[in-house]
Amino acid sequence: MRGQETSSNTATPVLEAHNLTKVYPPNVRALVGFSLALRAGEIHGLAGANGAGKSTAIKILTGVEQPTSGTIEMATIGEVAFDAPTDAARVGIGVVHQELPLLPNLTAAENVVLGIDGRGPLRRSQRQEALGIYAGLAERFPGAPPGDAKLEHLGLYAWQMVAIARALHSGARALILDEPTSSLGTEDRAALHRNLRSLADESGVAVLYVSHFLDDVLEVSDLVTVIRDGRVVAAARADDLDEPTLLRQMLGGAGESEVEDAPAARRPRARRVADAEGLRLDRIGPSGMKPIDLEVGLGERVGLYGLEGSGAPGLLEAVFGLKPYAGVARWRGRELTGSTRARIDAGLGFVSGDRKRSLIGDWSVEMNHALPWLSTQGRFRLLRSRPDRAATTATIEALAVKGTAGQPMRTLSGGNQQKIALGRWLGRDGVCMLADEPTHGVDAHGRVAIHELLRELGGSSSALLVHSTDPEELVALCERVVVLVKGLPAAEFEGEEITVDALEAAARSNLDVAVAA
Amino acid sequence: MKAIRGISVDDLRNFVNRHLHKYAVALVLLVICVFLSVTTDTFLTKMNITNVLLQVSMIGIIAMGMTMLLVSGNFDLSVGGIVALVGVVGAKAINSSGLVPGILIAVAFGLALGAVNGVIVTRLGVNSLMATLGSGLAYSGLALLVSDSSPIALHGSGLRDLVKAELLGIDMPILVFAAAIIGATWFLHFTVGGREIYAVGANPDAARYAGVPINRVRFLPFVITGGLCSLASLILIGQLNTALPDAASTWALQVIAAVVVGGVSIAGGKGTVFMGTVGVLLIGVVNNGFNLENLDTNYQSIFTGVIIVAAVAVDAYLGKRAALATSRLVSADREPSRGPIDSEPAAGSVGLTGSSGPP
Repeated sequence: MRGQETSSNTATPVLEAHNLTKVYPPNVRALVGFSLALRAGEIHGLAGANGAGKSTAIKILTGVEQPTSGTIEMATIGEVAFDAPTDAARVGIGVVHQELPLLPNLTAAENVVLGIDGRGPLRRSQRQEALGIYAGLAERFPGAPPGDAKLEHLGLYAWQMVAIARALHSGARALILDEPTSSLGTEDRAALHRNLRSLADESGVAVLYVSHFLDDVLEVSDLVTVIRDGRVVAAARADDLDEPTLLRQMLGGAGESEVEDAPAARRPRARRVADAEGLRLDRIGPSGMKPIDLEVGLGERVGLYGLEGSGAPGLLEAVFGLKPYAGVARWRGRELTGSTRARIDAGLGFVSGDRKRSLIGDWSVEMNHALPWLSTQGRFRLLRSRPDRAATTATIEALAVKGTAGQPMRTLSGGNQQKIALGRWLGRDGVCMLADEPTHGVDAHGRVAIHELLRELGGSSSALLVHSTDPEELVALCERVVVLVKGLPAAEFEGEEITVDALEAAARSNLDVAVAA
Repeated sequence: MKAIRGISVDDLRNFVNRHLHKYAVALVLLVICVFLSVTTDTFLTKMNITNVLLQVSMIGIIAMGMTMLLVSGNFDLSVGGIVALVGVVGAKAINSSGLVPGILIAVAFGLALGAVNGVIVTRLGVNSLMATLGSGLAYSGLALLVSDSSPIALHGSGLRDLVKAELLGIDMPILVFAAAIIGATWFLHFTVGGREIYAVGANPDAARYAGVPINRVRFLPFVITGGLCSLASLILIGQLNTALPDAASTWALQVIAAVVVGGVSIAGGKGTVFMGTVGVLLIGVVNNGFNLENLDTNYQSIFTGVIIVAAVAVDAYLGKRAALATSRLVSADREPSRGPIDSEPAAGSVGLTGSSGPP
């Protein structure tokens, strides 16, 4: 599907980034000397692991954040500096984010023209004009929605087409796509890639394609730049690359030696005690989902893998009493009923990758640590700060948290915050941990430490049910992984069968089946 | 940077920045009090102080409930309506069934009206601003209906004697105000229930995920405020020996203004009983000062309005400085060099950085 061999390397770049560096205080170097040239008619892939600096690069190129040093140069304009995203749009940099800022209650055509050229709500005559503009843009994209279709009735692929049309209408010469395929089925992915190719070949747009799906990057790109730890570590023609090479470049040595995060399957497997005593879900169906059965034996670590929209987070929330559901959930033979409070008392714990959901940033570490245990006492009981402090200090020492009990939570790093969010549940026997993206936004070392913790959790009286959209995480953590597609278990893997490829394949192939059905 | 026994000027400045915003309004109150003591002979007399406290006592009693409500993330605009309705119902009850049963009925009725607000907000999910705007209108209307739109005179002088009574030379309304301050401090700052109110106000999601029953927690401050309104209402009808059906119509905004001036955040999760009390006293002292200095009373509302806006603006400014000072303090403790591998925490951390752009 790659375009004809162009001599694009000689063309003048549309956008050039020179030595972009971004340092977050106090001393976090998110991006170091990042350089990149986007040429007309060329699709440029940007690959990197989580936390490699991809999103920082996008933020700087689109004016969301300002670089600490380095410059951006646009063809025919020269050096540019952005104070706000609107500045970047003005010089011709368009961006299509994962979450698309479009208005579902308006039509495709209205979404394309709204707010550009200072347009407000459209009058009747302008609506005709908008339809015309839209038709001109959309004819390049087979499968683009009709101009008068309201977005709320359309799927993600249609939204992306509208977002791209909107970027083109506002004069984008360089188009940045951020993880465009993370929730697309195979058909839509292929269509998107075809459209991008024709956009580059026929309209001469320079495309930056950012993704952590290596096969997608290799399939669509002409050139690939790989970043790791904020630095460009490789740049090559896509023809000269294959997936294993790219993966090695992305992970560097960290994958094997520097960071020890061996797959769970290679570790001695905790003995599973009688199944009935663990977590058992019978026909659990949170509202809007199909009911499913699932068992997690005592001492077992089970993963739920699924793309966005798999329904796994909703399932975890339901088990924790945060969402109504039909069916019966049991932990160690006892039926779980009633409020979250009652379920915590029964032995459940929850850690979320969205730390705004689990922690209060302005509160001290020890107040956050004590929060789940507050209402086990009567409301009019006096607060007891000494036991809280002791428990917090114990967690800080046991989990090697960098911080003190009295420090405000928000001053801890993401990894340390997450250790507290997890550690506060662990001071008791027989915990059933529910984890939703437990290392989201955590750096590599913190990630390994949290994985270690979760693996140790196994024991003989505990259990772990973890959801992640990152297959590597589940390979590192779980002895068994259930792949969820559209709220239904589509495949199950055990021990050595659990690999990134197997999970990805199961989640995707079955997605198409589910969509077709 | 000069160092005094290991403490640099920067450390000191940092310390001041971190703590100033908590006591800024109290400092302003102190300055005004000193100013009035120096420029007038009458301010620092027992009679004038008693006068100021008597004037603010009813607003102050309700302000203790409002402080809890704001911390929990809600409002109550219906307090004026509750005061009026409890007044006429209480007056009728006292006239028909005697002083003590009448007082008990009035207090129970106030708690019930607060509970109605709580149900509307927590069960029906109506925004508290709109819910209590509506219920307040309804309560005021009911007060007029129940009383036939005319004042209800108390038959005996029992309630008036009770309100005029003194203990250790302190008037009853001031004692009730003091008791409300102590009770609110105990509950909000020293009990499990108080801590839960802060949790729900600061971050309802985090509270929910930690098993805090957020609806029950949000409900209680409405009930407490209703009860405190009935105490204020009893004081009011005792002072006048009459229940006025159109009394207290502007109290809701007065109470909220006082509490917010004191530094309690309207965004929820932040503020103390001390701040609420200081705000009430500040408004009282400023009004007293205008009288003592013989200034045109028209300037009074202008000045009060300016104070309210200024207090909130200053609070926002000092709050930002305090947050910055805290983060400096902490980052100074960290090891000087950390690898670029730590790039994500800045974006993923909870705290003041807020959302960091599209995911």
